[in-house]
Amino acid sequence: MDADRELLRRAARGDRDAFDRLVRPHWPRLYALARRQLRSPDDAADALQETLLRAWQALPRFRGEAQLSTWLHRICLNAVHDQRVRTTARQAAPLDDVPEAVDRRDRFAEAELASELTSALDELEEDYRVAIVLCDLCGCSYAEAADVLGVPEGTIKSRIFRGRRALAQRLGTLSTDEKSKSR
Amino acid sequence: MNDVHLTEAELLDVAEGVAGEAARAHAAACPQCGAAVADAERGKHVLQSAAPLEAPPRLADAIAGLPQRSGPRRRLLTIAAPAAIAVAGAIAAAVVLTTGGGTPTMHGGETGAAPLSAGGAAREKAAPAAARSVAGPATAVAEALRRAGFKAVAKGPSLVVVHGDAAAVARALARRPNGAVRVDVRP
Repeated sequence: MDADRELLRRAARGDRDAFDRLVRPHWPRLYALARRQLRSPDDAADALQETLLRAWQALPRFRGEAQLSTWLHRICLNAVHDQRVRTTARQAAPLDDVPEAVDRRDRFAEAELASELTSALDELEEDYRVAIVLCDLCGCSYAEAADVLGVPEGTIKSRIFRGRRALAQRLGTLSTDEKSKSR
Repeated sequence: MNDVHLTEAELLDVAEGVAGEAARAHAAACPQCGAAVADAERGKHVLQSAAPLEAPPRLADAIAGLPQRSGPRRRLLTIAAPAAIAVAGAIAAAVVLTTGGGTPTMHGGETGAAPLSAGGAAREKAAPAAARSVAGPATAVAEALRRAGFKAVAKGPSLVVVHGDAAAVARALARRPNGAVRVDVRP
């Protein structure tokens, strides 16, 4: 903990190596958080880069009221949100701005697009999706997710429960009882 | 069996095997709650089957590409200096580098607030050679440049072309109108 505090102090003064040591352990989770909510790996990478940039710029103002991981996850969620807005705008852009050819990277993206889970996640309400991604796909505890999102832990559990049921429904694995009820 | 159904949080606890005896007993006896628990378990099973994700290699040097910052006391400087450099660069380059026939003008770039680059360390080695602003969005411009063979990375409202030739980038963007997306070219 003292070592982290020292790294924080050094990073706040502009030491990139200290910043690297502080945030690099969080990359896998942050990337997963971005990637599970953005269809393109490039968009997810951009969101993570944006997260790092914002964290770097805001670090001198980080007072440690929240855990560093919580703080980074919040920044990442904002960056992901902004990226989704940009992506939506891009999709609505004139034809001139839309790629004409499909390159190798796009084929990988298409393979990912074909993933039913990706599509099902994309269709979830944002509150449910974020809670599911944080807890079920990034490994955050319910308490951590509650801290990140600033809501009570019970709310997170409720969103997780609803999100998982919605996923099961969208992926056609709803229980027989429930299917017969919905008929 | 208790007539009051379990809350969603309680149902989740049952699905995860951490609920108390009373909640488990209710879920076992109540068809409605039992079905809800089963669905939540199925949803979790689907999520557990998700393949792990790895960050792309291009992020490896992302931190090396972060702009200079020397601490809280110099925060203002990190904002003011790049802006001043950008203005000075734009004025200088407007004199030196121009293209005719309606082609957008390439102008000198800034060094202080450059976006993160794909090969972040490149920023340490070489300042942006040129920059201009075109109509966006940035990701679409980056994709168009990648299609043209450039290594272009969108970064928020701007983008950077790594190992690029400023003149070639200018030609590739010649038909694109000026706009808010800043394009930096790193040699």
